[in-house]
Amino acid sequence: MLAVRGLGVAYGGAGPPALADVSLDLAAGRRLAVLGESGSGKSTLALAICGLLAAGARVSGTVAFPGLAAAPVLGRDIGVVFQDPGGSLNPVLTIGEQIAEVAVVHRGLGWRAAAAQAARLLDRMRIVGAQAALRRHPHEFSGGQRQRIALAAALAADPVLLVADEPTSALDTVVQHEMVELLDGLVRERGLTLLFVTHDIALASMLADEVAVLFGGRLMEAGPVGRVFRHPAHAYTRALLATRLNLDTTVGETTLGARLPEIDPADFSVFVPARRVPHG
Amino acid sequence: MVEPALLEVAGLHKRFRRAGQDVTALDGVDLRIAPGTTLALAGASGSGKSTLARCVVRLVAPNAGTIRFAGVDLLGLGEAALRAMRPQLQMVFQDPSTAFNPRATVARILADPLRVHGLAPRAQWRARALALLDMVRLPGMLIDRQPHELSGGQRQRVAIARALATRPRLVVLDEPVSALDVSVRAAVLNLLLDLQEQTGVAYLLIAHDLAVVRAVAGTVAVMEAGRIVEHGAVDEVFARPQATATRGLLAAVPRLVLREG
Amino acid sequence: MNFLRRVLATGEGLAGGAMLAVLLAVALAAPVLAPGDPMAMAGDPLLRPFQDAAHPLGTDRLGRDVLAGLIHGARTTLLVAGAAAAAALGIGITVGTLAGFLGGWVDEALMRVAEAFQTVPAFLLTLALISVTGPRASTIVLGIAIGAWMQPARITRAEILSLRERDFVAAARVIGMHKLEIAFREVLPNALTPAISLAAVIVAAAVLIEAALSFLGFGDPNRVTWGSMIAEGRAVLRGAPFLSIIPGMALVATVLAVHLTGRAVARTLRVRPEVVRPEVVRPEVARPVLG
Repeated sequence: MLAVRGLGVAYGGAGPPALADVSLDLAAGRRLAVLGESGSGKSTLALAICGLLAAGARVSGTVAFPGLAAAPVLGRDIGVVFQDPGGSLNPVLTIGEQIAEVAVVHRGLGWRAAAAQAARLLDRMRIVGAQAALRRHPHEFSGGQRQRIALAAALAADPVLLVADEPTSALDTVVQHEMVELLDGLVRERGLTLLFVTHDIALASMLADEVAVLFGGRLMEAGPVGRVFRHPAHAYTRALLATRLNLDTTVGETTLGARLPEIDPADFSVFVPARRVPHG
Repeated sequence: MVEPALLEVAGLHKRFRRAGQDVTALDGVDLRIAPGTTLALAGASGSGKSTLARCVVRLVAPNAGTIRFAGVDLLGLGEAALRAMRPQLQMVFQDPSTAFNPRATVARILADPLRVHGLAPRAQWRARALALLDMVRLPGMLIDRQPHELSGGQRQRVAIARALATRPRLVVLDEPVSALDVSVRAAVLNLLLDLQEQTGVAYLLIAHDLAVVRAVAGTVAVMEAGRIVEHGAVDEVFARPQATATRGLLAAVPRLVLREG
Repeated sequence: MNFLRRVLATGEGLAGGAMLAVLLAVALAAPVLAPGDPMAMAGDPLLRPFQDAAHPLGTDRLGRDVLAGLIHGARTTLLVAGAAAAAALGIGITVGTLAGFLGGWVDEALMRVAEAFQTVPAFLLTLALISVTGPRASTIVLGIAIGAWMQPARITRAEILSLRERDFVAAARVIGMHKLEIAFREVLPNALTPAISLAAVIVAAAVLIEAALSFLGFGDPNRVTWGSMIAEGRAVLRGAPFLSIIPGMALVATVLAVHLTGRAVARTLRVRPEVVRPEVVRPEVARPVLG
């Protein structure tokens, strides 16, 4: 479905490139998690694949879609969901208009049929009272609901590839959990290929088949998610796994003096600092 | 002998008007924090935890209830008295990218609390700011930088330094690591633990992620729809959750799934 | 002065900035470049431009040197326009900050006042003031300022309203800063950029209003201005059109310079995408250039 070869992206001016020499494959129907932190280039990678890079970006390498007959059209063949649930929806239009518009523009549906489809999508997204919701505006919904509406709009034209850039990062854990289950179900039902960007290892492990770990614009390692997380090849991946906060870390007041494991930025080694009593 | 509580909240109520409707953010909240300890407020968004935190630092005025801090009735204080109280009760905000005046340098950010309360003469501000940077383990050369020139983790450390500049007895931490990269969360949390041990400051920690609560808190209060629905030692509450909200939060914590292959 | 460099880096900024710099230099150096009284008779009347080396741009009906008039006129124009714009911005920004930050009845009252002033065009207002005080540069400055402060006030108020909700304002309150201190020390400096963009528009309008007033004979009779020069040339427009055209071109050049600079400033002030700074930088990769 997707083949990226030697992709590099640089923006004008001095400084390291946002992406350098990234190559990966994504087979149709599979799910890839792009894992990284700020500055890793993970969002740039997603934007490059969607063709949404800013005008001044210098791109080297290739992004190809061997699985498709023609070059993909954003909105029709690729659906995109962004991190900010407020930013990707137009505040002036009703959500019904926004979702229906996608089908009208890309699939040539009539407005009535598109509206009916929009209601069905909202229903699937578990938005209560889908028919009435069509006439409401984005600001009348919560963050989690807006994200699901954005997802409905992304899927309205029945794309083959869904790209999600940190779709749950702005949501709290409960809403995030619902979103993950929803994505899982949708991808399965529609046989979608999924590429999602995240900084959350656990999320990647829950939702993805394959994972690509990025750091500083470069690919550190990639492979099936089970293999990478069981037997990580790169020190960075190991460090992320070892320092991940979870329900089993018991430190704090319960174990006086104990501390959480940290990452040494020089070589990605993991260490547990002794109690350091700072002066001041 | 039971130590008197540092912070005592009783019967707090707060209603907002949002989009023409009355929303109850706090529906009768009681809580207590002992000096030098950490109480975590956990809950989904909309549960009222942020509103409660803002009431405690008097950014928001509750409709009913009392807040006693170090024995003083916070809600009854006039402006001047409240200002005099401020040094003891500080806050670290969730998003380090909006928590600072974009045009201020670190030196000015850290000197502001000292300046406002006359805690040090002008000649000493820079030295005190450097000492604060040292306390949060940041290199002194950052002192003349502006917030946008720092990484998220560095900014949050500056925010912690700013909150501790007046040697407060209680610091409200509003989702202190949610906006940070995962690789630095542990370091910031460790710093908070060290600072607590060193200065004896108490923390009121707001968090929606129970893993963070687990990492630093001794006691947790779970909120739902403006009420505290469960309250107790972190170990106990997580091992034997009683309320549905607690169980929902526990189930929602992302778990690492290690599959074969 | 990183900002200045960036403005000059754009074509508009360079052109506009250069022209403004020349204008400013000329205005400042007027007594040196054209010593003596520009309104004194210097030579034969109605000399054409480029004929006499002593009077490169010719002379008017009374034998006054056109070039000297142009140079001293620059002084008056820039002085009046600059002062008027500064006053308008000063009043507007202060009012906008108070209204936006304090809210409530202060906001209501100030905005109603602004609306009231909005109904009177600056030009007519200045005329009315002149009829009271007589034609004077200070009156013109006052008139334009009173007619132009509302726009900066509105724009500043809007910025303040949006900044008021940000965390750093809440942080300032938690630290214990006074309300007014927060408004003017923390919030206002961040709210200035839209008002600064207006400066160019106000200066340009002030230049033209001043010229129009002078043209109509309401300008300060003790100063030579481009407007009065154009008016002077009206009587001999057929025979010596250069007397009106030359100061007219100076006006065009000035307004153009202000306009170009204003556009360059506005463009440079436009929000840049937030540079994401990673927590950890690999040793072999160069540190990103800061600032």
